[in-house]
Amino acid sequence: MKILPLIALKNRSLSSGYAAIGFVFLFLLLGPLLTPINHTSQNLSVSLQAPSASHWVGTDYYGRDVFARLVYGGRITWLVAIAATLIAVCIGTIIGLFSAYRGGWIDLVVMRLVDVMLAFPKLFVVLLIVGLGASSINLLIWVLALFSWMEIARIIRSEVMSQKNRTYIKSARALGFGTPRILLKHVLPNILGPIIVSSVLLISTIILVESGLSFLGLGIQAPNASWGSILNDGKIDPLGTWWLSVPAGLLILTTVTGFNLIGDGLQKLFDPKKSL
Amino acid sequence: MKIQRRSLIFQICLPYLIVSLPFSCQKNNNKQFEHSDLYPKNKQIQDGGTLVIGIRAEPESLNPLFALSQSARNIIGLVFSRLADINEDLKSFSPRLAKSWEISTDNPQITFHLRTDAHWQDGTPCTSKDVVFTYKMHINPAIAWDGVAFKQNISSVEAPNDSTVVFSFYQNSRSMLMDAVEGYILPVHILQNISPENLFTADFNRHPIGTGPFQFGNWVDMQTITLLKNNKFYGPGKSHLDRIIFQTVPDNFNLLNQLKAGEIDLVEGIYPKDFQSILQNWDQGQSDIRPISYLGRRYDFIGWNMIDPESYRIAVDTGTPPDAIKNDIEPNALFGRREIRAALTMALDREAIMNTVNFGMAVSLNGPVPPILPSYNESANVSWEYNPQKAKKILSEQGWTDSDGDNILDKNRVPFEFELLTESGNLRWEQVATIVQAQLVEIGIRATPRFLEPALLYGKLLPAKDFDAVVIGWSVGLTPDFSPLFHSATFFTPFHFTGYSSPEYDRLDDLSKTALSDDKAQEYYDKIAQLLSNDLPYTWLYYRMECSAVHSRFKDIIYDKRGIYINPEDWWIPQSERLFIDTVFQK
Amino acid sequence: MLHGIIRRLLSAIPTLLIGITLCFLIIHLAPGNPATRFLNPSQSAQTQEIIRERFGLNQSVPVQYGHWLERVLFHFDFGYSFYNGKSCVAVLISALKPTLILSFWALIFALFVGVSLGIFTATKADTHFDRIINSIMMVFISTPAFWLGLMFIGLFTIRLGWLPGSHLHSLYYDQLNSFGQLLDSVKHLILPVLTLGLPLAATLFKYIRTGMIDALQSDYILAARARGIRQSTILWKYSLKNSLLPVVSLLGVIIPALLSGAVIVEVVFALPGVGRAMVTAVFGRDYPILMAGATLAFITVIFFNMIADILNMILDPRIRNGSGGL
Repeated sequence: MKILPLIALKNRSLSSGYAAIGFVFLFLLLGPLLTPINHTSQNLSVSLQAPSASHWVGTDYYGRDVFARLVYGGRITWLVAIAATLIAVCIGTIIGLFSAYRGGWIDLVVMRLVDVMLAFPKLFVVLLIVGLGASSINLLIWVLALFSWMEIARIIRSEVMSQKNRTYIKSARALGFGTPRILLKHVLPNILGPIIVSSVLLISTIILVESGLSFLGLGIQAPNASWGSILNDGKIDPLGTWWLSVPAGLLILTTVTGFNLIGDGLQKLFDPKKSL
Repeated sequence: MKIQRRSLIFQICLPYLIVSLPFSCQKNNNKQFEHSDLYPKNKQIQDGGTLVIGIRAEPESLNPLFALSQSARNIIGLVFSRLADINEDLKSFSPRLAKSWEISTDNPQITFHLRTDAHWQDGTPCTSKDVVFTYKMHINPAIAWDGVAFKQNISSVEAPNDSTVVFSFYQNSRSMLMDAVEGYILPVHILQNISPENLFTADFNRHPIGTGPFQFGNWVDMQTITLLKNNKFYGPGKSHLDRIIFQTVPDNFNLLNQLKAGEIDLVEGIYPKDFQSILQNWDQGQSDIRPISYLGRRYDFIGWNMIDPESYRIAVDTGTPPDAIKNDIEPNALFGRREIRAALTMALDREAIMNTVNFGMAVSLNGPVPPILPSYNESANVSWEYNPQKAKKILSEQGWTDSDGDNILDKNRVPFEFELLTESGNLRWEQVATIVQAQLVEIGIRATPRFLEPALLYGKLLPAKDFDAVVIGWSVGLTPDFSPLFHSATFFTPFHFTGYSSPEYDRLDDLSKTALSDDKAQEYYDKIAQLLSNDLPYTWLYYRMECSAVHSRFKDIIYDKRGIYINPEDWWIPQSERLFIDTVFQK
Repeated sequence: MLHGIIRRLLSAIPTLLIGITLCFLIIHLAPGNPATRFLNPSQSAQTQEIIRERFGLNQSVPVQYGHWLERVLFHFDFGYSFYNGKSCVAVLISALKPTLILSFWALIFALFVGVSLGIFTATKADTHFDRIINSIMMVFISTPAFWLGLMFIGLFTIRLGWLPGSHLHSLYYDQLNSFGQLLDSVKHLILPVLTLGLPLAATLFKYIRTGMIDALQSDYILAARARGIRQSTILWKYSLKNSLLPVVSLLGVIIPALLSGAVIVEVVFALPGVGRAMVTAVFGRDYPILMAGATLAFITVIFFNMIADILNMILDPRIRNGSGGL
């Protein structure tokens, strides 16, 4: 089952998702090899130039090379999204497992907390905290993670609930294994599928939120770039300076679509019944 | 299978096809604009028309006592009047609510004779009672008016009759007239029944009644504030325009797009980079948006901490009287010496910094006196040429050499490195800090830019003098006053963060304040400029220009260093150039 | 069923309390202290003290919390804006109108497009048409709303000059006759509603289409079809009802998404709504407005969650009988 996703290229969503993500990944990986220009070095004499041989995707207001900014900005966007997702998945998994396995009042309290957290409009709250705090990438990652773990916790809890009374768990317990060991060794591997699916989908949500924040000028701060902040540079006359607004938008679009397709595809593989 | 693959490719390409659609539409605005005469000579002024002004933030209040933001002050300036308005020379005044005045110097007093034909916009006559009431509001501590410093020298304000007001002063000074006329006159008949504590939330703040050429019309939350022509305005100075609409557009890009689309006529505070494109379009006749720029009120600088933060903290913590502890404070290990500050200043290509961060919309600045003031005298300043070689030489004379070959200067094995603080979110200052870092590395100094939360920077680090160097800027008033920044009497106040202390400066500063003739004062200002630009508590970077744009159909707009709202009542639109918005409103 | 509804209503109370407390804490624990907003070096210490007192900032955080909670719970009073001294409730209520107009039409648009396309493609599953619509919708789900808005403004406002790209109506709105006013409002609403509605429509589309395909293949539909009941009757009467059920429970997801989306759309199109007010307050550190906004947004979501659950109880017999649900 573990190698299944990799060879399941017959699955159309999955293969197009892999293609899209692979394309963006290669772009981010190999980008620096293609351009020697530093993404923060300014040169006002070439401010706001359309794409040319020396600047493949043109330059921004400060004469910075947009291609280089797309590469490094994309790396930051990906880094933030993946780091925040990993943290969120860890928090969500631990809380979900614990809550479901312990049950009782702990479960009740945890699920109430999940309800409360889910009821906050995500962008709204993250905007508040990031906006009020000194903007740093670390803070951004943690805040995004702290407001994203709830879905994962919920899914894991319901999966564990359904596994809890299966025979294999009962027999493990009968053999005298401790709770952590049962959770880690037996329960977790069996619910890995849903975890992977929801984390892949979470990456795309977080990319959208982060780029929205950076677009508002609250996320990644200058001189660092993210796709959202490059778009922010291009918002005056979006079509006139299309090299600022279009490539960054397409990269976000491609990445998010890619992760969404992979998520859908994996879901079909893991659980054909539930797939959308 | 074949069909499937083709549709897969199609699906992947689809979004990109959709996105490329807009670009297939050709740009259709290659129209050329003829710019008609902006200051017509043989004019037949026609009344009527609407001016739409785009503002970034809704005013917090339209009460002159509480308004701080630029947009609020602009609106208040149209609705209210002062006793007199300052002229372009920034020395003399023109009559406004006061017809004339006499200044008596031996028993320091100013007697104002008020106009008798001035009325509040609700019809009540404006009298000396209003002036006296306004003064009482200004100095009321519960109001906490931000201009209260102007009133410190005033001992009393009295009204012998309805059209005469007498301001008495503690001591004679050159600034008595300016002190007296500062602040807009408020209506006593409306505000007298509101206690000062409740004034902050009073309805008047959102429905002001003044004596100016425009009267308040209505306020739609977060959208528009409409001012109408004040038909009861005294004298011949009635406005030509029928209405001015202030429209709140919080985002720069929307503001500019609306300006380009002709939905907004006037925008102030345009970023230099955007201003350049407006300038270009205007020059090439591709737009009717007229760029306007003038020397503003702001300059930016690097402030060096001249004292040792640790010894300052210890000295303050002991709680001994301020005068005693000043001697316990040690000079800063890096910036305590004038030679080091001079070397750092020479190591910076300040012209390149100025042009890079301001896109050319700034002038150079070498000393403390702002170029817009009459007391500005460039030849008084010591100017420091960009000369990294000489800077290096001075540093090595001071014992800073690269002894370990890591390209960073050191002295007694301590490398020359420091933190360069600035406010986060201020793009211009962040850029300055980044460029300074790059330029200093060239001569072997490691400056690390740190972008800080305003509350932390202004609220904590600067007041505690707990920093190395900082890039920020000040906004200047219309009179030179440097004592909060450099006078040792203000040593422990937040503005005075450099820890600069010089008996010679204190003496000159005191003399410049008490000097009774402008010539004498100028002498002291020149000496202050020379002293400070030589001592370099700051490295002055540049003086900024204000960038605005206005639709070219508005004629006879006067603007100078005082701003763009000098004669709004004289602006007018020729019939032939009127737009839909000028005619759509019924009288 | 009444019992279930009452239990649901009661269970919202602790959620609300925790949420309101969280709103307060988030804003007070966020780096940057509300009191420092007023640290203007030009003010004397005495002036600063007066201003602090004016806003109750001279008390400790627990005391501030107590006062705040009491005022919110018993008087629905969120204090006064730091910026202009207006009551927060008044500020937000005046900002609510554009947000409601925008969200309402976006929701209507999303429901119309999502449901109709969802049903239509479900009946044509696995044809070219289905695949094309499907991939367009996939793209819209993944499109950042602000980018979509920017592209719309670039094309329809700046390049073509067909539609206005900001505000709710023209400055001379009051001077127009009623038909002119309607036209003016519609013109101003088209782009923001599309920007907010398209991603939402795509999400709804996905759910409806799947639900519909499932329903069309279920045993009882097959049985109905075998009995010769007309295709359109099957479609509208049986399948639609079943596929709409998940949409009702989706309300809990849609409302926060609408609110988050409205923030972006209001900023891009300069609409004077709640999201705009919040972004302005963040930049201006207007803490009372932020707390009020966060709390009200939270209460709104909780309210709609509750409505969704109760609607579900009424519509879905399994939940009603207490045998299903999470």
